[in-house]
Amino acid sequence: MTPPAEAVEAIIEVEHVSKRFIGRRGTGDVQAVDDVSLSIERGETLGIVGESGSGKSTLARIMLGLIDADAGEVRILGRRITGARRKDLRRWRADMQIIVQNATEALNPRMRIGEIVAEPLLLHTRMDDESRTSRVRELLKAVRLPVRIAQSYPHQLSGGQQQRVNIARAIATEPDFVLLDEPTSSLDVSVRGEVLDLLVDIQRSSHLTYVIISHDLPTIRHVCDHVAVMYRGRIVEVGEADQVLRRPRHPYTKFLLGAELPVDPGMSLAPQPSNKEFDFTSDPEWNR
Amino acid sequence: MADLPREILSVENLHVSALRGAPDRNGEILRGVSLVIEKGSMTGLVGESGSGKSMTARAVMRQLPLEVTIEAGRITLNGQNLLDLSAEEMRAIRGAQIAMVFQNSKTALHPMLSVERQMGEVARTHRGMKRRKRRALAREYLETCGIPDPDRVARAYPHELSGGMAQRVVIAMALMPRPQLLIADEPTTSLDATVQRQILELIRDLQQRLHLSVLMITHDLGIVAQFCDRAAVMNRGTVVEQGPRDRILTEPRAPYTRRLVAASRLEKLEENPR
Repeated sequence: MTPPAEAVEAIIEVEHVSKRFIGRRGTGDVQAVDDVSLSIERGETLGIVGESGSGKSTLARIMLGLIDADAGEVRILGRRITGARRKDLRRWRADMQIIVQNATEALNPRMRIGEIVAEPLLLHTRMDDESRTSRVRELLKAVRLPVRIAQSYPHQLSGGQQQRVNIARAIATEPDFVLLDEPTSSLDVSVRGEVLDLLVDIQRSSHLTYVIISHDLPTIRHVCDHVAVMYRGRIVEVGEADQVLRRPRHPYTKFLLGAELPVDPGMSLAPQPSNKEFDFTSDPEWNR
Repeated sequence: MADLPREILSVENLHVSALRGAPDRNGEILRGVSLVIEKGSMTGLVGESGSGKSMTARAVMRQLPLEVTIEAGRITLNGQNLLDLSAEEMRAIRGAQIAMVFQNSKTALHPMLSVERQMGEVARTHRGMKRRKRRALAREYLETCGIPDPDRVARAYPHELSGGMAQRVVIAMALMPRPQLLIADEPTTSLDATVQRQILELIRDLQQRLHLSVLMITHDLGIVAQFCDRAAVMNRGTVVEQGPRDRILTEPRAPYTRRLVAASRLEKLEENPR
């Protein structure tokens, strides 16, 4: 594992974070996150890849203070997220936002798009009605939606448009950090590229830091400059995206990359490397 | 045309509509779908959500939702037009000659019955077997489908199985009546990538060993590129292009196919900025 860099400006620091979920009767405990450390610089995009049950979503929730860790510490912008008071967390959320996988479910079906995008402004700022309306208009333009869509309801929008609304809402308070949990997996491939390009453009213009959780390797390859690979609660490999994705070192990373199905029929699949080193077929905890 | 020996299934000019559906297409869900599946081949039916892939499969099985009707067209299986058959005649074909597996294998299994019991039912209905033979057959099929410990899995209940294991069980069950055509509707979409590859390799292997014809419904061109012989591309209720896999992926003719191929290869987009 590469050590955290000499920290130009580490905006997110994760130190030895662990989280265990207590099993119910008949099932054992699950060590969802196991001694994870990460350091993310401003403007960076870190991709966290791993399969279901690897702990990536749990780690994400701990980073945002949505659940607390058993051990270790998370600091964002120097603020200690782990163990923080709810009141403080609520205030800090203006600076750290999340975009979730299911674009539809993340939008209140009874609110108009304009109201949805305005909500974080109501919560976190003291803008008057007029400047809020113009900010909403600005945000819709920034995500390349027509301004009149503010009058629509979520169900009138396509999946790609809905995810744009989520993006607009997430950046409304000009956060420093946005966490994207599987941002493209509910989208068709033809809109996936548009949404990703939009995210990259927004990042460049506002110097955002992204953490993207995804199992979609093309998504990771397209937008991330750093990649962390999680397996069974641990980060087994972390480094520059090119390094990890082209010259993986850990056998699990090789195994994961080997499962990708290239769209090019000329590229034949390499035989799957042995999974003996991390045998999961006999492990009932795996791939639940 | 329908009697060409090389094709097992042909769908010709199929029109399907719903009272309330596809608002952008006047309630028409399928608008003249034509599709050919060659004997012993694996054909990928690709398209994005709402393109009509699953509806085509359901029309072939004649299991459309109540409010959806077939307006016109022919669906020919081995020279026989399935749309001419009575409900009873169709029931004899479903499962026996055309089998189907779905995305969510857990919901395809009865949660309160053991794997063995459910597989036994298939063996009794379709092959009229006695209990002891049924048990042996279930284990044989589980083993064929790459389950290392068929005895344990046979006695298991669906909730005890992982997603990949459940999909293997469902495939084993689908094959027990010895169908000629297997329709797999997004069979690996809910699985992790490493498990997905194993399941696809299993289907490919079974298809070749048992000389099955497979219709693989998917939104993932990678699956088509790596596992199918032929491809048919659907968009807004029609097949816009079909043919040999390599031709479709490397020299797509329909503009929609070209867009889909480009969008699927995200990394290529980077090289030609918008």
